[in-house]
Amino acid sequence: MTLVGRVDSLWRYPVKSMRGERVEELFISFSGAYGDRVFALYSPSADPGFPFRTGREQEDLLRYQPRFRFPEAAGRPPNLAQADAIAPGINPLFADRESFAVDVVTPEGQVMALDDPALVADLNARLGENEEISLVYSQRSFTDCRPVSMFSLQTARLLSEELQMPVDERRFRANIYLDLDSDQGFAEEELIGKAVRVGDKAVVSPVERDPRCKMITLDPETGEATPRILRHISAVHNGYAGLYAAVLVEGVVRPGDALTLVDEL
Amino acid sequence: MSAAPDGFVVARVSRVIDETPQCRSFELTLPPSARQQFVGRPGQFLRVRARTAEPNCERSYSLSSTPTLDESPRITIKRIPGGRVSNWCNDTLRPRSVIEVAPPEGRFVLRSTTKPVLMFAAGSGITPVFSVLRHVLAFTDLPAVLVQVNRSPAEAIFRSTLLELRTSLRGRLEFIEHFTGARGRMTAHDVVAMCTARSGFDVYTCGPDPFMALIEACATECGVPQERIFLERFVPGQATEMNRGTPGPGAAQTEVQAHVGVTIDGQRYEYTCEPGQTVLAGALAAGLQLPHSCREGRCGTCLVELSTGAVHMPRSQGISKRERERGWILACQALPRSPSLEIDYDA
Repeated sequence: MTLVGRVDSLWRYPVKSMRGERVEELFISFSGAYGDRVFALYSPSADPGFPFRTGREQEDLLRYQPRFRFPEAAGRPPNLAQADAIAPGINPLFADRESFAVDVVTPEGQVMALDDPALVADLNARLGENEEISLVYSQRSFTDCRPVSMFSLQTARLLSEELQMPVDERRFRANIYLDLDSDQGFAEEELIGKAVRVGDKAVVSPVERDPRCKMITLDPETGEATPRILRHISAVHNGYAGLYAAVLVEGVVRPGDALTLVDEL
Repeated sequence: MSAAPDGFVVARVSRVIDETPQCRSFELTLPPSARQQFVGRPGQFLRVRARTAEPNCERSYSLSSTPTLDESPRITIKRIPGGRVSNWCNDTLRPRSVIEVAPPEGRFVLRSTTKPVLMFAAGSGITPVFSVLRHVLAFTDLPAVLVQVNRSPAEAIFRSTLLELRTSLRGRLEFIEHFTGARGRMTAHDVVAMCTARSGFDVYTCGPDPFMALIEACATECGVPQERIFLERFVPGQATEMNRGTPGPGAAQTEVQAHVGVTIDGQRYEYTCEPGQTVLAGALAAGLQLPHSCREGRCGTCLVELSTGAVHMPRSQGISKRERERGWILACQALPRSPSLEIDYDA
């Protein structure tokens, strides 16, 4: 097996478009990273094909910090050890919705339950609209396209050089940040179509480059937009940065885990 | 029937209904594989691409059907003097004709299931209002008031249906007709009186811009919160209008040729947008590579500041309220409405 790099950091985003949380371990499943985008804000006026309120419509969403009320319960499948003890391929159960309960810290530092109507009121007031958005929950992650996303530090560095400004990799809201052995930006694209073991069990297969939208223009702390980041990626990198991956073998991954190409599963 | 590129689906006209001498409705049959995509919400619109030999024959038309009630989507198209597509549709489409349509979209939808509705519609602006109203009457107990403005009864689209609803629902629907031919235009006094008598109602309106501006101003004067006033900027092919600086002798209501000045990376370029060309399409046709990606108004790559001029954007989901307030537009969606525009990527 060929070592191509290591996991630098792991992130999940409990509520679609809200701020992410860095984690020390992440169970990646066929339907997405555990606890990643399990909640989203449903907008009745949005395109039915993508019926969410996101940072595209309300940049301020990135300033809201969600936290799982029960971090242990939301950390990994409740019977993972028992499932693994039977056989490595046994699918574990996912916890119930209550285990994934979320509290949100507003930009002003106020803490509200995610399902508190006052939070929606707070969001609407900030936007100056009064739309009846509602909370939706799914065990299958509300990602835009594919279950898991990956992005290399090397790509962030290259973009920083090209744009002559610091480019915080958090703009790209990936689940797995890679520190590749290649020092070339966009080297992760060479992994497309291959099987990559992450750590000692999980295997992912990057399936395509990640087509970018204005979400990457938004500062992960302030939500302020820098449109030229997206324009640059569009002009120089055909609009793509990072990878979307399918999960071939579920498992827990951790920072520092080796990334190795798999010849056969 | 088969799928066309860019998300459009080939639909067949199953029925043509003469609504008024200048307006027809077209009921559509979709391929079974596309029906789920076209469920939509009352008040939304379809992008329609007419199969003519001419370019730039894509327009947006509101659904007059109510997706929660009607199995087949129906669009209602009123002839616009000089309008290529509206006249082509009215002249050409018959049962079994085909057109291309994209799934429903738009933000002019019922915003609350707890607030009664006060709706003002002028001319073909009745189309999305009618769609939402039928949903309100069928699925809620909310009081509903519709004020429909036309020149004469003969030009009032859906009039007979609305009169029947008023009768059959026995007071649930308050249907007020205003014929400008007999009474003159609606005045601010008229509108204020209506709003004052219906405190706590959400206000919906669709029609020509001056009409909607009147409704919005009067509703605001009567204390209706801004966030409870919903407008569908209903000029065929339009969902969002932007006017900046001095657009000239008033923004045009039809397609115009526009001279566009663009500043990007410290350089200034000029080109001409032909009628019906978006700001982006005009630039690309002129050999000027402006930033873009999806070309569907979703990704936001083409966001740019409109310094002067007027545009309308059929789709604008890739632009936030903050960006609109700052005068940003989506170049891939922006159709010029003034003879000159200035856009600035370096702003």
